[in-house]
Amino acid sequence: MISRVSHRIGVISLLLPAALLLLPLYLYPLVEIVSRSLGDKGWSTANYLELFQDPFMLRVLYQTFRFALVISVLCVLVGYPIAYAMRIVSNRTRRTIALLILLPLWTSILVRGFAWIVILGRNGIVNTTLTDLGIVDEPLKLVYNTVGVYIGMVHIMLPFMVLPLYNSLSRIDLRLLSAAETLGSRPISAFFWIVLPLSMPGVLAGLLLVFMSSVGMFVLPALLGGLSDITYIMLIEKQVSELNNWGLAAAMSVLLLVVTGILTLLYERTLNSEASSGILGQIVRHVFQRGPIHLLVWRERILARLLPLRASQLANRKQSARLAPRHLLVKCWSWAVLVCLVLPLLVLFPLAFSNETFLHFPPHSYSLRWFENFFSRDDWRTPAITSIKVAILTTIGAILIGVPAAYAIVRGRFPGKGIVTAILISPMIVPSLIFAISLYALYARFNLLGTLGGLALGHIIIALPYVVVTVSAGLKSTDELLEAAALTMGAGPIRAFWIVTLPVLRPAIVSAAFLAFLTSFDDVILSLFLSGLSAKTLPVRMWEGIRFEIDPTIAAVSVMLMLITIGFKFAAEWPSRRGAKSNIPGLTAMQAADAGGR
Amino acid sequence: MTSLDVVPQGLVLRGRSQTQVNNSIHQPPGTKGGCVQLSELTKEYGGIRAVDDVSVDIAAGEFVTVLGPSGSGKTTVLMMIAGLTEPSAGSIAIGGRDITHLRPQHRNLGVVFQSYALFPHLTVAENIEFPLRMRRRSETEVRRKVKDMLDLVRLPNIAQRVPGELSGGQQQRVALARALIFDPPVLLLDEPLSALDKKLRESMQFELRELHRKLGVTVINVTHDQTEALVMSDRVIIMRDGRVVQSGSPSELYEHPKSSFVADFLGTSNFLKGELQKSRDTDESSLVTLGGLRCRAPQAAQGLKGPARLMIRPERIVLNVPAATQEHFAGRIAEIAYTGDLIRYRVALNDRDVIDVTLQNKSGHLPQSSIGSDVTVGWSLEDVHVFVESTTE
Ligand SMILES: Nc1ncnc2c1ncn2[C@@H]1O[C@H](COP(=O)(O)OP(=O)(O)OP(=O)(O)O)[C@@H](O)[C@H]1O
Ligand SMILES: [Mg+2]
Repeated sequence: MISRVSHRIGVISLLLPAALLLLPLYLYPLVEIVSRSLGDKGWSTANYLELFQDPFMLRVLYQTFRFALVISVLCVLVGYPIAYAMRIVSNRTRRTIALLILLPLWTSILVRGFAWIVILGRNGIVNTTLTDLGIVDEPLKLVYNTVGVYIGMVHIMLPFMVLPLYNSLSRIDLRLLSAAETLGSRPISAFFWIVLPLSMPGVLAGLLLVFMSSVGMFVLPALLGGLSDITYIMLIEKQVSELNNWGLAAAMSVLLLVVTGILTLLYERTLNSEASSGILGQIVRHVFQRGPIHLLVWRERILARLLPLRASQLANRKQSARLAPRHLLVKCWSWAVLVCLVLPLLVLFPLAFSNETFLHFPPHSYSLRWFENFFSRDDWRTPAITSIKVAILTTIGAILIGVPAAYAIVRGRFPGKGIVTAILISPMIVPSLIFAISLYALYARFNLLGTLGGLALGHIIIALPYVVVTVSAGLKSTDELLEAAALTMGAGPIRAFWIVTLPVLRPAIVSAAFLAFLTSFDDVILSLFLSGLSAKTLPVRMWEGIRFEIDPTIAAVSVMLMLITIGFKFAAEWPSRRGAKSNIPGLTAMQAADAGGR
Repeated sequence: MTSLDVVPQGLVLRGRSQTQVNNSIHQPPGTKGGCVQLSELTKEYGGIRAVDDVSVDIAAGEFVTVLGPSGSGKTTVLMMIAGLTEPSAGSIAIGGRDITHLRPQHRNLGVVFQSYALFPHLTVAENIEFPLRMRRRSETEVRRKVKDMLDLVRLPNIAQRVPGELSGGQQQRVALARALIFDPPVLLLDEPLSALDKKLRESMQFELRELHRKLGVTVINVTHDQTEALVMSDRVIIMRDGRVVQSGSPSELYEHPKSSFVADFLGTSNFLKGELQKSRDTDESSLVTLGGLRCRAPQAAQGLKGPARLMIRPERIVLNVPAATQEHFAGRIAEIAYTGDLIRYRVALNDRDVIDVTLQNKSGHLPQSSIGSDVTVGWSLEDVHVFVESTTE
């Protein structure tokens, strides 16, 4: 048997690589942000006072929250029917829907932003169609304003809403609906009094997740928003990169971190609210789950007062014949939304192959000139190579550090396990921009800006949560007894891991590697701050391209990125084809946490 | 194995007269049970017939149990009556009115689901009053009826709890109360007792019967537990592979099974396999078993020929009283099982024919015997059933 001491030593050595990475490059910079917010010398609340007294600042803060709230509500309205459809369709269709929902998630946020600009822009597809048809005279202003941000954000946030919703819907016994119908309720009221209240924890969790991610989102509002659509996080960036006002930026960051932390806690509690007897569980149960039935009772009481005759009239309600297919509306809506999710990405394909100097849809003639342009021009090729190098380094590093850490937190027994887990996962939750500026300050001092290694280290930190979550989920679903069995047969603990656990874990590790690669390859914010001029990555090049010159090369790059991602996805799924169920990369990671403001 | 004398396909069981059916149409709803007519009801799932041409008439106030092995289509029949599954063909009428295409919420039937399907976020009282809320009944009526119902199912003190805090038996009763509160003329039960332990199941069987008597509601109960079917029902309908095989009162089915399937499914049976032959001297048919025994066939089986099975219930066989029986054979005790109230003997008549005998554990009635001792088994001809086996097998 493994003695307690050697168990401790084992746990410590498994967590050591993660600690060596996170302590100096993640926790220290964040602590530094906190200390900077309190002034350069001693304790001063000047920065916070400035933050809370500046009306502009407060207005932006309010606007940002309102903006996040609108997006969350829009996502619930759009996403609930999809989650519900996922619950009622067959397993195969469910997998297809899940795939369609996750597909946009694997495509770079820049690609998606670009797609929306192409579709919604002044000379975009929507406007040309509308003017050609003579429906509008003037092109509508659909992008570079709030509308554009909403459209783009809902497109990005929808998966983060649908998955928690589906999670909670899948726990509801659908026979309750049948029961309600035999007891005399119409299908629609059965839904409102039974299913909707029961799915409330999922709705709340989805709302919190989307709200939190939207507040921390930087890239998309910056791309699609207008001048007045400035968000809190953009203001932080401005303080750092334009005004060099680090103190205020730090105070603003701390405020956002606190808000995000509280929301995360709430999120986690709501997910487990069914079991919890705490105050939040009580609120969810009494207000959100049981509220509707009280509403129903009161409505009836009041109606009985007002219209005493109504009851008898209703008793003679016409008994209608059965409507043809059930849930038709839900299914139609879901497919329509899914098409809207995927179509913007498909639009880029014809554009990439167009033979025109300007973006025009559909193109009049086709060619490969934009691909040639990409491969022949150094200002595209060099960033692409840099990106690939960094992504490979990141993948290797994140797997080497993340897998042992996941093993330690799943199998190990040690005090402070909860805190260690929280720290490992937190880079997913801390808004990237805040992490980016904190690391930027550190790198500037040690001359690490613009180095490949420095960038890769940063990327490893943001990729680590995905690896830890995916591998932990894989480990939890493998039988611990397998290892014990190997031990009884005379294998040492390391050999047991190597010959028993690792092969079983392979699908999870492959999918974790896929996510780590993507995280690095798609990252904009960290690269924007850390890459300098010498280590410019492809996303940074695209970011500049989209902001300053919209040329079809970006469409060509986007198409290549999408194909590479999809190719990776299938490569990642390949080894597990013959074995157990193939897992969709990112699903577990997503269910466990959030987008963390990419 | 199928036997020749299975009921022909789509047998229409018109046990009670048509007049009864017509009577019940004029009964005021809610005070009495309603009659149920299923005609040629069929449900196909992708070419497979889960329910195949079922026609049954159920009289008002009858307690009918649908019994059959797993997958025989019992739940499907029930769900079609409830309106939760659409029939592929055939029709359903309740109280003389065709409801085949009516939505479930307009059918006014009480349904107790196998899993109870209690709403987990509502209290017991709110669960029970749900049907009345959906029917927009007045507040006073709701209050009164919920109280009545809780008393009826003997759960007066748990109105404010949620289903998660109840025991299996309590949940079952809440589900029953919820299904009965709107006075439905017909109550559908899908294996309502299968989740309960044996003791509780037995007392619930009793309570269900009592409720049925008190309320006069028509009950259609589905189960695969034969004891439950025999104990509770006025009539049992036996299903197999989506078809009705036989229906009748419990004693009718037990005493006069029309096929070896029914005989085997209901109670325990001894089967002796063999060939039906006419004896030379008398004109009587008898069955020559695989082991070479010649057993006389009852009157009903005279004139039949070919491979057949002879069936005798174990409790109808006596041991060691050859004089009192019409047929007796010598054998040797192969095994003895003691179950408390009953003693089971397994007697080998020869190396191919084995017969089980069940005796009451009463003092003085048991043969002084142990494994290996010689005995005689005997039975009267009226307890013998013969099922001719179809040639296709
Ligand atoms: N939704 C469905 N789709 C396809 N086949 C189904 C469906 N529901 C039932 N069946 C099939 O119909 C047949 C009858 O099913 P049913 O549930 O009525 O059986 P049952 O008699 O209630 O069995 P049990 O005692 O196990 O509950 C089975 O073969 C089953 O596989
Ligand atoms: Mg069933």
